[in-house]
Amino acid sequence: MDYIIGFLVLLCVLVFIHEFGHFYVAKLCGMKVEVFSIGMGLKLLKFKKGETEYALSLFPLGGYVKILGQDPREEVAKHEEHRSFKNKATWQKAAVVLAGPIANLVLAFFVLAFVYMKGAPTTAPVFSRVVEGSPAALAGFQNGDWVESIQTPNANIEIKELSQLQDVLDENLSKSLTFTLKRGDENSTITYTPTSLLQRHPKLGVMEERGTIDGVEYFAPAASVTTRVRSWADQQSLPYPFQITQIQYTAKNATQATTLEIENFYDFESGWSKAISEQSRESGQIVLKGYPIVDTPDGQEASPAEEQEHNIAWNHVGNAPASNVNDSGFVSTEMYLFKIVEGSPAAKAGLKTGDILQSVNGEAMTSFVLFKRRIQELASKGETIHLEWLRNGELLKSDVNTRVVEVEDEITKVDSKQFQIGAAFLALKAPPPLTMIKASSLGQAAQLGWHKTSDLVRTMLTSFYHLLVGNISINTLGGPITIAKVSGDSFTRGLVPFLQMMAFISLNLFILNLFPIPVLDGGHLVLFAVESILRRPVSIKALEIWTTTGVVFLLMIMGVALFNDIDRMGLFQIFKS
Amino acid sequence: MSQETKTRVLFGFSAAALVLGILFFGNTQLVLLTCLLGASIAWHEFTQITGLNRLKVVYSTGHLIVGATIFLGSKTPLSLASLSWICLATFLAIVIEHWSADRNKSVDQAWNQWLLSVFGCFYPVFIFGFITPIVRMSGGTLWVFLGLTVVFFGDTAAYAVGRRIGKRKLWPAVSPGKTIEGAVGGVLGSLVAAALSYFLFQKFFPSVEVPLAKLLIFALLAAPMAQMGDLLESLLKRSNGAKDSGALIPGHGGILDRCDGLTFVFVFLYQLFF
Repeated sequence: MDYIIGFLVLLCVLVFIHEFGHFYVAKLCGMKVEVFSIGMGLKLLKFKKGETEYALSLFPLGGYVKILGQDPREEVAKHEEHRSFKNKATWQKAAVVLAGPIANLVLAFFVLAFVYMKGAPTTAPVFSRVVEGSPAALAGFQNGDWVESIQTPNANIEIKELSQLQDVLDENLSKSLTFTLKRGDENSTITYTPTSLLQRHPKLGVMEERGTIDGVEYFAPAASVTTRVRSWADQQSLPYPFQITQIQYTAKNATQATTLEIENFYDFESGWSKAISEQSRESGQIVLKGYPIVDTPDGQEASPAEEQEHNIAWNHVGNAPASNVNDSGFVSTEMYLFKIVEGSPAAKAGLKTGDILQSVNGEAMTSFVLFKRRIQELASKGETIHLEWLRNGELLKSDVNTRVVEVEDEITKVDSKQFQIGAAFLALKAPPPLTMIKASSLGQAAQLGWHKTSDLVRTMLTSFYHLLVGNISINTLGGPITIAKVSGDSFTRGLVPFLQMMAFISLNLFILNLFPIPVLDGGHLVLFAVESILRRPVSIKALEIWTTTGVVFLLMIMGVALFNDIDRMGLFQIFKS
Repeated sequence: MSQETKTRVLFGFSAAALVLGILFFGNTQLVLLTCLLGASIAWHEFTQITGLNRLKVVYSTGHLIVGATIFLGSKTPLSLASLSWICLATFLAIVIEHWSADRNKSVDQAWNQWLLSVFGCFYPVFIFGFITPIVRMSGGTLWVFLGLTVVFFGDTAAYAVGRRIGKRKLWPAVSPGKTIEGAVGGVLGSLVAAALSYFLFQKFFPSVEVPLAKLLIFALLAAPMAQMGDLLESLLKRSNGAKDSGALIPGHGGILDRCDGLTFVFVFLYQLFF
């Protein structure tokens, strides 16, 4: 029910604003507005005030303002001719048409400014992980560095969120940048030149040259662990691989138990050290809460089952664990081979489930992202790939081939070639840290709101461009069901997400309506332009073909979008199995 | 040279230069755009010849179907299953057309109109829809160039030979000028064009490997196909009482007149090599 309410509220507001834009400017220009309707088709509710009839109609997917003389075939009474749309100056007609989309733009701006007054949650500009031995680590970056500002050759840019950080990197490929970082309570600065790497754009999904700090990842590894053979951890009866969410222990001389929330592997490392060092070596106890990771029947992803509690205790110095996670025998599952595809190059090289990968061509591997990148690099150059891995404490090695797999991109639905060895790792990511952007004054809210607005418009235009030239498949188009779903979804998540969604859809309407497609506002503008070049009205027949083409085009696009919507609901899946 | 011949030659060369310029210096997007434009004009001409342009909805829908089919098939041409949508969409357009005009009468025309519009949508796709996918492949540009030369040289050769020594008529009711001698001459012309292209490729694109045998076999097979495409368009015009398909290129008629020979050639090329 919330879903439907959210969707309807959103739709009504957006349609109202859009039509109000048309309505208001039409009035300003002295036109006679006959009907103002939210929704199309059968009028459900209507009342007349002055010369205008206001209505709420059945189909909420749009609305309309009926102005006298809008249809060139319409007969207009003599005494009203000066109030007819047809007889107004072209700039006035264009202004009326433009006012609708502009109203959507203005609404988005105000909504976003309001959102920043209230505070908008966003992903923090944090280097959650800096891979050991990588160029980034050598430059001095550390896990958890929070980027406060970046000094580019041109300006000093204050960084508020992750996407902004990435933008700065993209815009300054191969330029020396100075990062001001917050590390704990201290500040430090590091100068680094980002390299360019062909990467997938996170929102658009197309491949682009993007600025990268080699070795920096924005996700920390999850606190999912397995063990080294015959280590202390191996002798505990935990169902490995195990994802830890909480550590509980009672410190020496304390009466109350301490609970540490574990979000990623680094939390686990520090939490473990704390829990061990605050207890006596002679006897102690730690409760690990978490999930055993199980293989789901449909393959692909590992999903957590029920949360469990496990007690680990020791009663003399001889069987006490080390205060260091690694020395105790815990290993991150990142390089843990979760699954080997039968007959794959990995299987042929002798890799088995449970093995832990150690190195690729002599380079020690701790990051899955880096592993994937290395495989692509080596395989595309045609070099041999030599792997080393651990099995039952024994180091094994072999060369491995790759095979080329057509991978369909989730976002763009475009197939691309990828080199794979046919092994699935248990490289789980911890959620990235969040932060809040909150404006301190009205002026700042307006500034932030405007920034976000122009940013969204730019992203949308780029994605339309990619859609138009075929870089993004039309299977990605979402229709009314998707809009209903996401807007309803955001409604249940609170005011701020709902408003953000409203601004987003409003901007979409702004852009879509300006497309030079007949029937839409942009199509009318094209018509006015043609008419002012020809210096005469377009013939009725040409107009009819123009409009019909627009209607058929929109129907086709709607058809595709609706088809995609239904496909996403999985309705077609039942036919495919 | 008469004035008419002058215009013919002048515009023939300009059009050829434009097409080759786009093919060799433009990117894939420009090639696709050109194909979309050409296909749209081809559909327009087709509807004019057949009188389908009187049906507003069918006319508009056809433009979009042709455009969408070529756009969506610009990487790999759409499969037969996808193309069945053309049948559905054109039929829907016919239904709407008759429904909005007068539901009670005018059924007799509907079936023919539908058949015409289905073929009319496939026609521009055959001519223009396979060019972009071929251009996308490595060496594809050269093969498209080859297809064009084989067809146009064959066309010209058939005309020249037919006029000199042509006696036996091919199908006088459809195209009074075409002779069997001309047809044979056309095939020979195509072979010569292929051989010439081979030397051009060797000189300008030494890095792309295109064996002569492949070229000649393709020319030998493509030339009769080009003539069939020609004949098909003549039949289309003749049975609808039109002389030229349009007046896009002065002296050459419309785009269908100029590109009719390509109807089956690029489809064949695509299947043969890719």
